[in-house]
Amino acid sequence: MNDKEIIELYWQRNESAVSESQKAYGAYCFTIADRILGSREDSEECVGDTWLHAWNAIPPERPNILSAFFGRIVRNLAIDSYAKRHAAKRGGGETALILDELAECVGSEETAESAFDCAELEKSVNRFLQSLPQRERNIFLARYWFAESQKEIALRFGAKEANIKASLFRSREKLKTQLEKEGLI
Amino acid sequence: MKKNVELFKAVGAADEEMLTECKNAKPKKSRTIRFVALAASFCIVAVGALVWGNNYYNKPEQQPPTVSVSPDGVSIPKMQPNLSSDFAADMLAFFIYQGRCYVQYDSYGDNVFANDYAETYLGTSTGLIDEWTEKDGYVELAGSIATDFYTMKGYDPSFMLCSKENSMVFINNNGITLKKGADLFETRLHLNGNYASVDAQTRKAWYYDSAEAVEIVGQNDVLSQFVAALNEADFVPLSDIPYDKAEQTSVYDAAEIYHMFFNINNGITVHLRLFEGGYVSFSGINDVCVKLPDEVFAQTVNMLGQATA
Repeated sequence: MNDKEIIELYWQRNESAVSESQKAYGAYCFTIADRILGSREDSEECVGDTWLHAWNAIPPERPNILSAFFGRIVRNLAIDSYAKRHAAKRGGGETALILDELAECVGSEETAESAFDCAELEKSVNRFLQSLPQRERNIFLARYWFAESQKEIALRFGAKEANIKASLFRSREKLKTQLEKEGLI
Repeated sequence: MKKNVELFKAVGAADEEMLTECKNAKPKKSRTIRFVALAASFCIVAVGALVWGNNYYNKPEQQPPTVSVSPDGVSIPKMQPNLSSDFAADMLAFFIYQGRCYVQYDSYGDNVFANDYAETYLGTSTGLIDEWTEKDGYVELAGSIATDFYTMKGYDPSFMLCSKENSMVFINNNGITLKKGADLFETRLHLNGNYASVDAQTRKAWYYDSAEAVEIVGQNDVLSQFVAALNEADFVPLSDIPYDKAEQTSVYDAAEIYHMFFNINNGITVHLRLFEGGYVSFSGINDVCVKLPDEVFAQTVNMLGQATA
């Protein structure tokens, strides 16, 4: 079943939309969640919740790229789940490393309410991504969107791991500079 | 919510087109190597799961065979390449030769092997496998990378092959049984007396790139004893390494302490990971490890601690 047909099932409020989504994107969504959570049980729960969120969002939404739509939902659910799980203690795994790296840009202070205007922050991040050279942007997204390890990225991009680390470091410096320039930090 | 978590979430709003572009990203092309268009990073061969282990998921009835232990040693099952939307693993360069699946171990960038070590031309992989390839596409010479491959001088071709382009090394890390450390470190990797230098890095430095690997100098005796102990030790599944699974999500977070890099005379590097409790694994075969005697491991860790201080 292709993406259009799956989306049509959601619009028809046909419950097989969920099973078809699971069939087509279950493994994909699980991989995204598992990279962040490192827990099969929690990741499966996030994937299950993803279909519920999609059910509530479509209609009215009609996603252009279903993988990105589902991916974004499951990613947010996994990050929330990770943040709750690790609220009291220092976490481990790839996500902890990723968050430490991102802390270089904005710090890691806990704030009672959101420290940012979320919409502005998202727009700024998008502008930053647009400004990056294509390869550097792909490496940045592989790390900070898809939560791939630096080793995985090196293999995928056919580069030495040290080069990937250097690229990510440069990108974080650029992001930090942009966020400072735009008054977000 | 923490600021860095908010930033992590904000990256999630990246334009869909950029995500698609990232998923479709290819390795840099060299003059002669063609990496195929591996269109989706989320859906590649199960071999990735066997090699790198962490990001594997498929349906329960499709669970891959697992590492098993018998009086003959620890057996890593033969990989049955099978790629469909039901499988999710990481994108790795691999090809099939004589029924074995060779996975990229490392790439050394310059022509380390071009003149001296790439010995006999064996074939050219097609590079035509992608996530849409049907099962009957997993045939001899199929793979996710198109390249000429060769035997590597001094190494068993059933274990290691190489490509002249980017000096890539490929390892067949499945369908093998390892009993003693010597089965890998001596018979296959020829570690003993064959390295020019050894570098070390703490786990933190390796992950964060906060410090370069440092060469271990003046410790030949300790290194020799370490290698001898590697050869003498018995293999066990990596999953045998004890750690608190309630507190940590992986053995790499819980127990990994150092990385060692044996720079082999021919230019390749044998990368070892050291774990608390005396366990050591080779980064090309992540399913298994050996457990060293406490005394040898302690003096090795002491040496590494001094070198990386």
